Amino acid sequence: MTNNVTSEQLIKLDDIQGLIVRGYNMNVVRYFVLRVTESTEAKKFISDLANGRTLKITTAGTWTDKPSYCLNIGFTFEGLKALKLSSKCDPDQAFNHRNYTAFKEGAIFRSEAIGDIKESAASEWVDSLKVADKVHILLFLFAENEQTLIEKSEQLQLTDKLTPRGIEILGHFNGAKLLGKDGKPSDTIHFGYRDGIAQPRVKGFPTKYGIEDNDQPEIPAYQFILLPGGSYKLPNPAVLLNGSFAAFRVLEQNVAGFEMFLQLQQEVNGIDPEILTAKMCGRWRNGVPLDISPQSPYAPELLVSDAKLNSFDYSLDPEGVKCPWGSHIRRTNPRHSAEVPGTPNGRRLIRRGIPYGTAYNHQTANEARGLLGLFICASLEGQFEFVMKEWVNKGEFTSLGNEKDPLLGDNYPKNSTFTIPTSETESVKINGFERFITTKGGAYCFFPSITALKYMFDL
Amino acid sequence: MSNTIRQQPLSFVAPIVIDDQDPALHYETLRALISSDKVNGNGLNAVATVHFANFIFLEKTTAANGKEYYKKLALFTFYDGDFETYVKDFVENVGALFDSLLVHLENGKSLIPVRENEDDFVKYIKNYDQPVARWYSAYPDKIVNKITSHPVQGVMYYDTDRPTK
Repeated sequence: MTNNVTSEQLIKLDDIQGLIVRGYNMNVVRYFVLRVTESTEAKKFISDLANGRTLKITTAGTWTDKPSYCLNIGFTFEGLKALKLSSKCDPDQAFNHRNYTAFKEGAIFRSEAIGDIKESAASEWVDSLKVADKVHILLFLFAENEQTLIEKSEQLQLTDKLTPRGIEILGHFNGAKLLGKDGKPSDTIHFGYRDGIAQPRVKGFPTKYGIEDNDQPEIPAYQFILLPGGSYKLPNPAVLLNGSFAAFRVLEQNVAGFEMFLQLQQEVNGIDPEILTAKMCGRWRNGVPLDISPQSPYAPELLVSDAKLNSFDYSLDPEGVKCPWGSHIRRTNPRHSAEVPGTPNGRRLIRRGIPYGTAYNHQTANEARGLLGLFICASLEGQFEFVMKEWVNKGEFTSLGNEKDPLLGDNYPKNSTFTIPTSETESVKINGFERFITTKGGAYCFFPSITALKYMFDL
Repeated sequence: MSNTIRQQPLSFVAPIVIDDQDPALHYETLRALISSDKVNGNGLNAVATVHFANFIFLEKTTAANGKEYYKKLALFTFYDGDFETYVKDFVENVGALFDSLLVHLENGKSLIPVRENEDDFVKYIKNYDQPVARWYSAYPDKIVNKITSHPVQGVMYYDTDRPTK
């Protein structure tokens, strides 16, 4: 840093794409997968969005009233190349550092290393995402209701009948919040867990839109937005600062298989399904963390806010008796777990997720369902891929040998194991379970700032 | 928990740059730097994977002008995990320290700043890491975070700080 300017002071909220800073908490989404067929026309389409001439890209700037829709745009590396930017913004030169290798190589090329194998292999992904170099733009449309989603899609000319000039629609993904027991949209995912509770508190992000003070350490903004201070070379030209990367993931959830597994464990090993569900996740399905309430999900004093649900750090549970080392949330955010080497807070991800597919019940059991996930960071390799490779699909980092994340890991009955410590010296091992989450698609994309969008695409 | 070895040694030994006019120049600068407050342990505390770190000068010699100096700098440590896997932590927390050391080490200048040359930095460290014939650990399954409190509060010492009889 020079002139004592902190990276936080360089954050320009009204220039940063909004989904990086805040979850919109909207009920429905449509994520479009687009291909550039003619660069000049496609640039005009993007420029119109950046300048608000059609719909407007949503920034992290202050809202007076919550809008009826939000819109964000991400580009794959191949997309930036297909758009034939001027030499002053040549993608190869702009992202000339190891930090950007994952982005440049793309999600398909990197997929096997993060556990996308067998039925999760890129060759098995949905058609719109399975061909390398084909996906260029991801357009993320969020709305409060279905009608708005349809109207805004029409305004974007992204429908079955309409397509903007210079753009081909490869496909789209619809997502919607699942209804809670009260019939209102909820934060619950198909497995029945409440999701999206733990998000990093980012230094420089407004608390109003970000995360409440929950006793968790603040994470530098350069871990999520390209700013000075991170362990990477900044992109060149500097106009690309204030941008972020994200791994977009289509994650199919095998709820029927999960529920059958729970029943089987109850019959064979006498394990209560709700206890096993909580041990695998690290939280009870209602979001109450095992580290605070290991015996029961009934903790009304915690359910008042996400801050309460996040105010723990495993420091009083070194052996994992309350919350197993191998549980999903302890692996992917080890907090102050003393068993994890190094500085786990350097690997945090901002997560934006929403379910797709119909809610699970006996009639719909065989339908496809899952989660549309965005994992936002400044380093796809150092954060997203690190978490997937070292923490989700390995166990060595916490002395669990070959064990993998019981929910998200690439588990197969032949070798899957999940250890549940029952005391400081004893544990129960659950073996032979299948993979419950299958990757159905992915793309690595870059979310430029509004300034960068105008710089790159204004004609 | 298994008894997997969770630490490993680094025995980094690299030649110090020899200045034609004053062969002892870089050694002396390096020694002053390592003795200064700039090397204070804060960065290593933040990395939280380093058990011990000893800076040692090796191969004492005498220049034509009569000045004594050392030809190599050694950094012997025991650390957790795999260096390449956790290089991000090193670069972020002790990158500036390595930058200041590398000025005075052979083949080091081209790596500065290490945050922009992570791959080459890893190769450099591996290249000068000496093979260990055998090593001992009293607690092979323990990592720094397991042994000490959060945050790590390690301290740098001088040779003269050692207790004497």
